[in-house]
Amino acid sequence: MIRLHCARDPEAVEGALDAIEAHLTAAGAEAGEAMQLRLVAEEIVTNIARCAWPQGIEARFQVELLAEPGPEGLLVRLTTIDDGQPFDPTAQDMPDVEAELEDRAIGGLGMFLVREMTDAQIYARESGENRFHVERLFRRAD
Amino acid sequence: MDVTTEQHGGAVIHRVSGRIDTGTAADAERKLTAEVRQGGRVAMDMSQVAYVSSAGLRVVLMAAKLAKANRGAVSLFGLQAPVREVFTMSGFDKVVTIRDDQASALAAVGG
Repeated sequence: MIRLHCARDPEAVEGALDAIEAHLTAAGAEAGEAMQLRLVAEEIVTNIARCAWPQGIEARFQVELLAEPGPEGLLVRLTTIDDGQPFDPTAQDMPDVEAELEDRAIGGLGMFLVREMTDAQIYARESGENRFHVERLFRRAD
Repeated sequence: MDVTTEQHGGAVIHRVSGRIDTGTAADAERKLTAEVRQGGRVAMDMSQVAYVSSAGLRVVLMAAKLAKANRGAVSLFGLQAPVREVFTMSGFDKVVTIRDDQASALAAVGG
């Protein structure tokens, strides 16, 4: 498991995503799988870094990644904990992915991709902190 | 992320490599939407792009909208399978012209 205390600046976010991708690869994730989970992490971590606190406020938040081989395959759990303003990612409106070009909104896709690319998404507000947890099982044939 | 640009008849080909993500989206937007803002015809070679997050999708959507608004045209080709999956998942394959190879992508923009 890795546990990172990530600052809000883009370099810190990039470093956290690199560490997540490296950890996944070391745990046996294939390139496409590591890409999908990096994407999930990017959407979640970027959103916290940019939006959880007012601009200019220095803050750090926790990112935990667990990737463990099990009987069914590689199970990946990603958890973020931040003390920013309450934000439930699971309660956001999803974009209309069937809309025509003129009607497609610019943005709003991040949390949609997180939902599509993970098996479970759990949010809780506890002790003044947002705790967001996602899971994904990469099944193995044997 | 790097972009090299070639002129092909009446169209340009942007050969993109690396990641199009939160960190590179602003640079990608500047480099990939310049021609379509002027009504140009653009094909994007995505064969060296291994990763596109929602920030990258936003750039592609913006390019498509700008092309339409300015009577230009944009197409993408050579998407790697995991990137193609992100486009399909988000419905972008329906609003952005995606072709398998360079010749079809150029034909799609009338280049």
